[in-house]
Amino acid sequence: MVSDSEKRHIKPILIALIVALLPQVLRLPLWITCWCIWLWGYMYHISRSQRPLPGRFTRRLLTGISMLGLILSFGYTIGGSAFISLIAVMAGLKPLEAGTHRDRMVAVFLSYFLIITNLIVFENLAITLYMFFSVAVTTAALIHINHPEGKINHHFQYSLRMVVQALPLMIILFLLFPRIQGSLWGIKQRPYGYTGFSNSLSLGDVARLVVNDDIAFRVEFESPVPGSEKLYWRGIVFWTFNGREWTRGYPVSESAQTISGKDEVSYIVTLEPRGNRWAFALDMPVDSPPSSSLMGDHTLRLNQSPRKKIRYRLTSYTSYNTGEMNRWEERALRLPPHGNEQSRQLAAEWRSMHSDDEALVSEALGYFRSNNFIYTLKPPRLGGNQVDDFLFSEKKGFCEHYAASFAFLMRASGIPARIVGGYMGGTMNPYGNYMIVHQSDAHAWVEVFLKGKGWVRIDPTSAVAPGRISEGVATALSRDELPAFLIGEDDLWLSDFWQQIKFGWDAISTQWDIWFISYSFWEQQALLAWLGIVSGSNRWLNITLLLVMCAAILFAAGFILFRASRYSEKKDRVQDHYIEFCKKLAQKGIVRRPAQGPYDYAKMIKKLDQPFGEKAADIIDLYVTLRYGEGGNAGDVGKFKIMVKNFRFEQK
Amino acid sequence: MKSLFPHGEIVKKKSASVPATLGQKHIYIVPNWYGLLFLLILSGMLIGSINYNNNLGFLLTFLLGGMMLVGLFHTHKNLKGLRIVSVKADPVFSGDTAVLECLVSAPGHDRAAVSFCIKNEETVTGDISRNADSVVNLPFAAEKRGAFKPGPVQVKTTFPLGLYVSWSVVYPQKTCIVYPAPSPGPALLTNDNAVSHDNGETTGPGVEDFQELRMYQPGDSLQRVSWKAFSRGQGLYTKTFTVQFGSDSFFDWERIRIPDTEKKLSAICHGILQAHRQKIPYGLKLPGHTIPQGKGETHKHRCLKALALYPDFY
Repeated sequence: MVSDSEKRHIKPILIALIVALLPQVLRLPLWITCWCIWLWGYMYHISRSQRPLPGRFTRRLLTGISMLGLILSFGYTIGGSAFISLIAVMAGLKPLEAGTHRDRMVAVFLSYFLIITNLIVFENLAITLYMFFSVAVTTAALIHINHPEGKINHHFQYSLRMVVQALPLMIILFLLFPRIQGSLWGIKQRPYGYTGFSNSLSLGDVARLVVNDDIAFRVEFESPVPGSEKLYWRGIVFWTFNGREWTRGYPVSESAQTISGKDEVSYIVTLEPRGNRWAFALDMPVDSPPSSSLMGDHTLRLNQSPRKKIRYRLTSYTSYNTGEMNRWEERALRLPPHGNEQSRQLAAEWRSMHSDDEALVSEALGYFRSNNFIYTLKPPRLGGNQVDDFLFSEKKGFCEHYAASFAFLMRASGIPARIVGGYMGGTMNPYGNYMIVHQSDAHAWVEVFLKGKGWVRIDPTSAVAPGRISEGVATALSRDELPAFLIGEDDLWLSDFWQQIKFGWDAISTQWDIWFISYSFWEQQALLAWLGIVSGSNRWLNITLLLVMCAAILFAAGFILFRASRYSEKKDRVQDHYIEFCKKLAQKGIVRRPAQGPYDYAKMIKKLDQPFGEKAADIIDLYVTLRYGEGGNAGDVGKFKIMVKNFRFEQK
Repeated sequence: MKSLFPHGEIVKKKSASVPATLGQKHIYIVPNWYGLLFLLILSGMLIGSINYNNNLGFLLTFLLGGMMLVGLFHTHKNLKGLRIVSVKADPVFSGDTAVLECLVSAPGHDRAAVSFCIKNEETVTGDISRNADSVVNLPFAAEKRGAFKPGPVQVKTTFPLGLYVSWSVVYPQKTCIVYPAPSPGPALLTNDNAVSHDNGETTGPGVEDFQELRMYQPGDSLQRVSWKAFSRGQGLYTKTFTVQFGSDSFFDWERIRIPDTEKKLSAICHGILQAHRQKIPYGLKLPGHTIPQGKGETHKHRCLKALALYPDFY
């Protein structure tokens, strides 16, 4: 037989589980979502109707079906998504057993567990806010289980109150709980996020990046923002050409020569997580941030690929001289022995015309400028002699085509050249005063070595599509080539409005990411240093400090809560005085019965028709106001006390 | 869930007796099994967060940890200040379930899901509002007759989170009078002259009052037959009479011949109840204690109390 009291619990548990599971819905296999919805719908229907709770056989059958489904979907792997699906299925089945208090508590704990699985998968401001909501709902369910007679609304408010009260301790623990570098045991972390450039560059690679709307990194400038023609973000350098593609080649010296320069720019880069270890810097970086090194070709290599957003501060010279060429850099002249003969010939022609390297470079740029080259995202396929095909037949390509062919020509004419892959340009976010660099800003250009000047950037794209440099890729390409997200700035006011919203949210989200998501060991050290506690990496000092802070918070919390109960103590004092008053009367034989209310008592006194009756009535009136009414004014308790103390039987 | 933690025996001397306000000194609070399980889950979350360096995981763990700590204060606060103003236990007969009526008041704020129970007895759970004093009825078994002091009252709650159990013990000083269970026996109302019989008849000097007619049974005195009714052709009926007792009718301990004390007390109890029902005045003569004749509820209770407390009277 089912009792109503058992059914009362089902609804809040269901709500808590649904709220907790909701963010995962799109990522879970469809059958699991449908299965959970069906199971919960079934339980909800039962809770509303007269039907009994499912018996043991039904439960076992449903559990068996669920397990079967899981095994069919995932095999026996224990991966991340399999685990989350398992928890989801458990959440689906749990409400079936709402019979005992223990079952219900376990169901609520399961809900808390679901919330944390959300946090593993997503990591942004939106899910953080949702987490607070989920916790409030689940805690409301927990309170309701322990007080089924109460109203769910009250319990939700109570839950919110508790969450708010818990916030200070949460913040303190978050800031001060000892963080360690690395992990407790070396769990291999799977690569995460879009990889961007890889270690090789084939024709078409950059074009593929451009159609991606993701954000590559954000930059906050501490100096004035350089002009758009200087916004080259250096990522990776390609040294070796094998006839088909350009690769980085090994080894590259691991320490960079110091460069000289001027027009120093300071900035902070917030890099999105990625699968490779290249960080981006404005041409040309002077130093490397912690946990990274500046390579011989002035690219930044991180010690490990960032699984989450990282921030680093850099300084760059936008006008620079990299100094003398090193021996190992002589590979910048190497070409495959055969192939692209036409291009080699062109290069030789130029060499004979100009003995001066700089003049040759100008000649080459002029060639691109005046030979009807077209800048396009979708160039035709090229044959075996890529460079020849591109330069002499097709003449249509994206930045990597121009960079690759230019570098080839330079090497063929005896000038050391290398290709640099990275990003060019960026969009300032008006709300946040920082620059967003998207994947669609991906770019490739060339560096040539000129005597006396070092490695100098030459961007052949500027010769073909100067708009790309000054205004970005959206203006340089023809409209029908552009991916959808780049079109439309002048289309509908709605898209403009939408753009504003995106900017606004990005600004908030970025601040959140900066201050919160990336908080870890180094930030904690910085915070401790700022607080005046320089601890180095002394873990024990950190832990002690934390314990002290926690104890302080505990005492503070206790103090606050006990002060809050001072309100009840005030009523206690009132009560005590009233009891004193009753005792006085009792001594004269006017005894108040234990359950006799104050008004009844007053009536009784009045009946006696004694001279002190009026005074007694006043006292009782004030007592009722203090105890049952609005509480009276601040001084009333004291007044009450005095009235009781001065009460005499002989008074008029 | 049965708690395995020791309750209440710890501090006996300073424990509160009624009227009592539950205060810091008397309230204990301990995590229960669910609280420990919750801590285990939190530890798991914490380790996972450290290992994956997931800041959101840390945030959730610390939020839940903070909330658990806040819950500690809330659960404690649910009991703190609760007043057991007075208790009362109406007398019952041996074998019945007595009820300890506790008047409970909750100054300052409402209390939710507070459980009261007498040790080893049934638990009563409810909410106490701050505006009105509540009466909590705690049943307890009253086996033996006599003055019974109900065991300590344990006040317990796990509200709001169900992760802690907070309790306090109150020792009510009231006693409950347990009357002997009535059982029919030859307990006779006597005075020095008249005797009351089992069949309800009484004989003796004094004015005889007609009581009722009943069927003639062989052996009845022919003098008692109602000839009037017989002459009307209604059959043979015997008249029964009662004697109006004067001020001398008592249940006399000495005169009643039942060897076992308890049975004797039970029989007298039964007799008293009967006399009370029939509205006959009666008195009680126990060795060392005499209760003069009387009628009515108060008198009945006085006599029953004397029976309950026998051989002590106070």
